[in-house]
Amino acid sequence: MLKMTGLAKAYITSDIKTQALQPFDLAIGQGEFVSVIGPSGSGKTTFLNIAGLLESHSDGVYELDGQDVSKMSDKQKSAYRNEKIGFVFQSFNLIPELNLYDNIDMPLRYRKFNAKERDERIMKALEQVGLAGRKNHYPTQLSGGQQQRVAIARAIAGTPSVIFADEPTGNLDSKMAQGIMALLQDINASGTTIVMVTHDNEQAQLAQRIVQIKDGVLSEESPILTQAIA
Amino acid sequence: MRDLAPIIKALFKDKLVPFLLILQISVTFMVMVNAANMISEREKLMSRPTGVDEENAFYVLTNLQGPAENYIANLNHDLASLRAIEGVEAVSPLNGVPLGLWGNYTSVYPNLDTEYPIDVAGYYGSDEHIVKNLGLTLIAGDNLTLSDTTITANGGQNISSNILITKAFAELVSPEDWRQAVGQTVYTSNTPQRIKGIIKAMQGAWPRWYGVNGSIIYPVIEVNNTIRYFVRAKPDQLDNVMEEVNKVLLNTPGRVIEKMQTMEEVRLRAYKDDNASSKLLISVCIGLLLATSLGIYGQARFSVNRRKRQIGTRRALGASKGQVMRFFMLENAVVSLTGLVIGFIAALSLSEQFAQHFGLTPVPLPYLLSGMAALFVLGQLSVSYPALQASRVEPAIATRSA
Amino acid sequence: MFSYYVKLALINFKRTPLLSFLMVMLIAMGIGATMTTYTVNYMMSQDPIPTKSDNLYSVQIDSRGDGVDYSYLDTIPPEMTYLDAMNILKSDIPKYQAVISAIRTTVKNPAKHDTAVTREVRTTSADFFPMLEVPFLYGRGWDETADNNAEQVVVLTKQANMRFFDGENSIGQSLQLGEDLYQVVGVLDDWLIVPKFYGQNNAMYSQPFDIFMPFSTQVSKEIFTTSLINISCWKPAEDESTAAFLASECSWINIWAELESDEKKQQFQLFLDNYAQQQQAQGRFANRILNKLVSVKQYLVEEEIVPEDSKIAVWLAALFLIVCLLNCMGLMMAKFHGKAGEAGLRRAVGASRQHLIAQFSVELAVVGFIGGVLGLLLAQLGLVAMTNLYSHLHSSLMQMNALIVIITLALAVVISCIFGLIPILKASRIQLSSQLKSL
Repeated sequence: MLKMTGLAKAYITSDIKTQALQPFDLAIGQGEFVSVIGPSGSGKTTFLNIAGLLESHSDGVYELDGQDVSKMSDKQKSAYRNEKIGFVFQSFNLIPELNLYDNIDMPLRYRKFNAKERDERIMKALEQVGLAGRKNHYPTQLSGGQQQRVAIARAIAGTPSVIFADEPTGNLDSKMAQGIMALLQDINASGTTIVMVTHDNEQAQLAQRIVQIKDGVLSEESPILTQAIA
Repeated sequence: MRDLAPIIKALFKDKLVPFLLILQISVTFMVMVNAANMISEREKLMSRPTGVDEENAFYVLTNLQGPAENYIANLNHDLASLRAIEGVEAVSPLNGVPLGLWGNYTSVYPNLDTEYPIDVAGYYGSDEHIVKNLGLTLIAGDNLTLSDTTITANGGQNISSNILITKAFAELVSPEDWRQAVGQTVYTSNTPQRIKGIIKAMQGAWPRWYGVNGSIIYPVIEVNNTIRYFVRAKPDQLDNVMEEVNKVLLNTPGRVIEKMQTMEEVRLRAYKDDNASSKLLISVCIGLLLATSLGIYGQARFSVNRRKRQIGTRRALGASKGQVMRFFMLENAVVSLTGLVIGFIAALSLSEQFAQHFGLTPVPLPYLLSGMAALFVLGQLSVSYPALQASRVEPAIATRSA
Repeated sequence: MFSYYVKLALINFKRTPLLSFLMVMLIAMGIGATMTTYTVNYMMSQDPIPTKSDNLYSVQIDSRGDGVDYSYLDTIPPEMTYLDAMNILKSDIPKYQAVISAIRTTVKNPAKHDTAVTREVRTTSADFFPMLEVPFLYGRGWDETADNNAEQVVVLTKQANMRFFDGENSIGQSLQLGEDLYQVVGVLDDWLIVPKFYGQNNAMYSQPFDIFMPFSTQVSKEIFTTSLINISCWKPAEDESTAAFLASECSWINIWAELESDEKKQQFQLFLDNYAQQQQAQGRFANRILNKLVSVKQYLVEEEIVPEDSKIAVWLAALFLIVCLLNCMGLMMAKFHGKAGEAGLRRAVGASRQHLIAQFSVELAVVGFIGGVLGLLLAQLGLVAMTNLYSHLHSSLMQMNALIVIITLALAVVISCIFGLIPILKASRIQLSSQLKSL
């Protein structure tokens, strides 16, 4: 459902050109779980931004669900981000003055659901992450792990085709991290594509495919191969 | 001062926010300075002297009972009984009151042939004691005497007599030297009037009338069924005298006292609108100052909050608290001054607009300069607390992640 | 969606209390000042009688013969001589015609033993009441015969009736004016006419006089109060008698007429011109023939009754409002800068730029609305202050009507959104990034 051909990204300021991503090809099918690893500054975030329609690429073609994204208007891209994509950020990014219910509700508001539909989706998402009982609580009343769960709930409430997760366990201790990874695997099991950026090799192994980015160069490894070598 | 260049560069880069502040300051200055000018104009207008002794004076508007043959006798009777009251300094019959909003006026001609009058003058009719009784000041020629005085039903301007005029009117009669007006003859209603003397000032009935300072006085007492008595009390006796006058007049059956007002009340009423405007303008100025300081304070506070990292970094790199505070004060000073300079130009053009459309006088330079100083100080004061808070930012902030 | 945005607006309002408070205060101050001055100005320049202000005219004739060239002035005095007034009243071309004058006299209810009080009395003719559509509580105005016979009748205002007859139906009872008894034939209902165009120039915003009586009665009783009228005599009366005064060239009487159509107006103009020519043939009207029918609106303009100061005040207040909003705009910039995180987040989860603009606009509209409500309160305070300052104007002037209230709130909302446009647009152009800064 995600196809990148000859994709590259370069930043140009006055007279300096920085190549953040060298041209690469990548295709991800529906239901796959792909992790993207690499050291900080390698271009992982840039890759994720482009994949998630947060940034535009400078070279190549990116097709999402069969659509060439460079032909999309801002409105169309927004609609895609709203309906087909779910984001999970490293720093949760929940709105502190809204309660959990309203936080999850937020992306749903930009779609044509009525109040009943929204309520159903929100409650279903909350249950899936195990926080249905705390829907009226505020983010500040939750632990890091719980907040990330809420963020995941927000990402899945709209039943997206793909979830982009940017270091989802980066701010969590190992116990919470395990819980989050289990949750992501559950979500993937139900058919949602997951593309996860991480710097943790162990976590990366949980995915079916591993993509490496180093110094802006993207390469892919087969997990089986790595294991054999290690 | 080393910060000056970087500050200016940073302001140029940001553009929108400093532009906004500059706009705020210049518009505030423009409005305030013009408002202050209007206030001072009004105050000047309202403090013009009427020429009469206002502190101790009041007037009574009452009826003289008919039939017409009895008017004079009744008048004399009134005058006698009023003058007999203790505490009364003087009583004059008077056919109008300065600033009283109702009065008489007539066109004054230099001779019988011409179509064009010298001007229109307010006129008063009273007995020969008027100068002394009202506390007027004779500055040229002679005072009126008993032999000048006559009594009529209406229209002193139709009776030929010796008259007194105010200096302001004398300047119209004899523009080269107002003193030369003494002895000249002018005409009202085709009747000759000889100018016997010139008094310093006596205002007419309408404060906003262009001719309010040009008045003439006839020694002609106008009697008909209503009459005004202008009463001057001895110092500190005003209230007693008013009470007594009231009593004495009401002794006569059929007497109606239509009005009794002190000159102070007359002045207040005459300038009621101007007074209100003045107060309104003052409120506007205060409001403006308040709005501007709130605005500057609010923006400064959030500007400081936004730059906490930068401040922390500066402190970590060795800036003292005082230097940080001075930085923000200097930044505000640069913006203020720019705003004030632009405001200066804007104020001048607004002043011109007001002068053209509403006939106000343009703002004098001292106002503009002191206004600039005042607003500058206000800006500095408003930014001082946020600047102080900025100086208190922990240097440790620099090392913390975003 | 709108209610969602309002909900978000209110939550955000509480998030930054100081900022929100400052913004609301600034808007309120600006709105309060503008609406106070605007209300007063609006009230002062209202049409006093909208149902027929186009058909009511001040009848003005220039009967002077002093040889002065008055053509440099645009206006002629609206008063006329007794002689001319009586002659002009004879015309039946206008639908209604009324003389206007005034006297001051003592008044008391003879049945009671109170002392007499001094009151101003409007002297006029029968047509006054239907012409100005004056509402009656009891009885009616007097008729033409009362005018012709100089009958001793009066019409009282509701307040006067309250004062002298305790508010009862006083029709038929007697009221003593001076030494004479007058019969009450009518009592008015609440009646407010602002500005009181038919009265004296400097009393246009005062209440109507308490008592009305026929002009002819005033004349027959020879009661004149010079301080309540504008008298101008280009030639003095022959002697000091009343008869001489009435026959003189002193003008002191106003006439107002209702002319139903342009045709009637032209007819009446012709009548006046013919009359003037006749008089000229007899040696009067020596200066020129200039007769004018000045409509109410034009009359109010010519008499310059809305003080210059009132107009200046509105301009100043508008400038003040702009200053307040500029200050507010700076605060809005600060506010939206702090929302960069939320804006980025919302964009990331799929809000379009328009969604953000809508959300922020609603936020500003809510702030504007609250500021507007507060501004209304301030304006009310302002009007109370004005009432005290301008206490010679009556208090009905210093009141907002429903229309003004709605305008105020709409103004507050619209102007907040306009001044917030740049900050909003700037905020909606937020750079998207998954590494969003903390909220």
